Amino acid sequence: MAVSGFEGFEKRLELHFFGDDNDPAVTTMGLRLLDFESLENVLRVVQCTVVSAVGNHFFDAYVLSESSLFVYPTKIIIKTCGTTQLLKSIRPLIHLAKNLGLTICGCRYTRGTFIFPKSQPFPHINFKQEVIYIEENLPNNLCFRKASVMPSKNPSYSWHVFSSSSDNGAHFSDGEFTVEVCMTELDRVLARKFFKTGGDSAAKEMTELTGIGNINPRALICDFVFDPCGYSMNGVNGDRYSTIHVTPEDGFSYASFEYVGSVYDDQDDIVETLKKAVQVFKPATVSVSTTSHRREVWTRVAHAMEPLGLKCRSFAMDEFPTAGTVVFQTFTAARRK
Amino acid sequence: MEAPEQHNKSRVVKIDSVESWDFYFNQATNQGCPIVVHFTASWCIPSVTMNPYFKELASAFQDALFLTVDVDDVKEVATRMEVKAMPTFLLMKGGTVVEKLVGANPEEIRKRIDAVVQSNRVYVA
Repeated sequence: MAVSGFEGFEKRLELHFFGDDNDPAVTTMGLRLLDFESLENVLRVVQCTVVSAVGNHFFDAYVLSESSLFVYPTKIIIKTCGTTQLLKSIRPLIHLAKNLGLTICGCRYTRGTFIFPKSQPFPHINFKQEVIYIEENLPNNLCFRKASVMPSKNPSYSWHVFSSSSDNGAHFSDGEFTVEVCMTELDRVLARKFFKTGGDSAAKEMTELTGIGNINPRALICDFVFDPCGYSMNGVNGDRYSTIHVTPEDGFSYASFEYVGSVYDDQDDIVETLKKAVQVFKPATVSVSTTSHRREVWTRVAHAMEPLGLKCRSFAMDEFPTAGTVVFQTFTAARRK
Repeated sequence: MEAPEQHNKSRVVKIDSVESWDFYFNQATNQGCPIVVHFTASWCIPSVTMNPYFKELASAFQDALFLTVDVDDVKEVATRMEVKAMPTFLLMKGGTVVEKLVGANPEEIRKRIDAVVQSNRVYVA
């Protein structure tokens, strides 16, 4: 592992709001009414910018200089890597939402373990500092709160979760789940494909050549290639997003894959999606975190990893307000210990 | 000498009906002129933010026809061209779609338009 380099591991923030359900503007557009300048101002505080964007009837998806932003009528998800100060977006977002008549009712913050924790700025020096900062910026109506560090057998791989809500148990979509996959030590040959080779249409070609376009053929992909290397994409399929971010440099290579699915989907689809995504990178280590109210999801994860020669090394499970059950599993190549 | 207003005049043609679409599509195709279409929705921020840039591109590439289609105003065309997200940019030449770009990536769009226009010039010559 290199002494220093770009931090691929992301910080992820998800904020839920509620407004007047009788107001059609809220139910159809809500946060999507936020103008672009306001969004850019918030991102400036976080220290990132928009590099590409797309929207459909359900949500807007932005590719950022440091990951992604998804804006739904009553939900916002921001995922940023590097040394961004993601938590600084909480206060301005709550304020902007209030101007639209929306009140925050849920907040969830998750991240893995940084490869270069000493390079992180305030308030991300450590998880304790992050939790204190979040709590200072959340209103009192979010009274159900829980913070937990979910371990694995390797101290370099833990999953940090903070979740809070105003109503324990309400506001969840039955059957819906989120899967966050973090991959390190990517196969060197496959990682080389994420270096810019010059010429036109670099992003589209990269999406096709690497097999990323094949993970979910139904999704519309908004992709971006960074100079001299690095890749990001947001996939849009109805009201569901998927997102991939790649830091291909040897010594600190990293790739993440996150997507939203439903337990009502074909169960084999979950397995196939995960398999295809992991096969793009053939990493030495994979950690998978699933957030769901149903157990079917995390049982599928091992089914996807085993055929790829990845053995489950750890399993941790915990319950969080509104989010439901978070299961954190780590996998490494079978020949390793 | 051009009047100052000419510089601000947008070359982008707003399509407001299926008939209008068919008219411009056929005209440009017959003239061997490449077409660049921006599918947008008034409520979709990612596509709305591209409007000024699209006007700029229209000024920069005088050899191509630039059209803008609101997916709510002209639903039939949006459906026909299978537009599911905004902005979607279509590059058309000789009556067929040569490129479909989904998402607001200014640099990429400019590159693709440039490539289509350049190849068109070579062909005509």
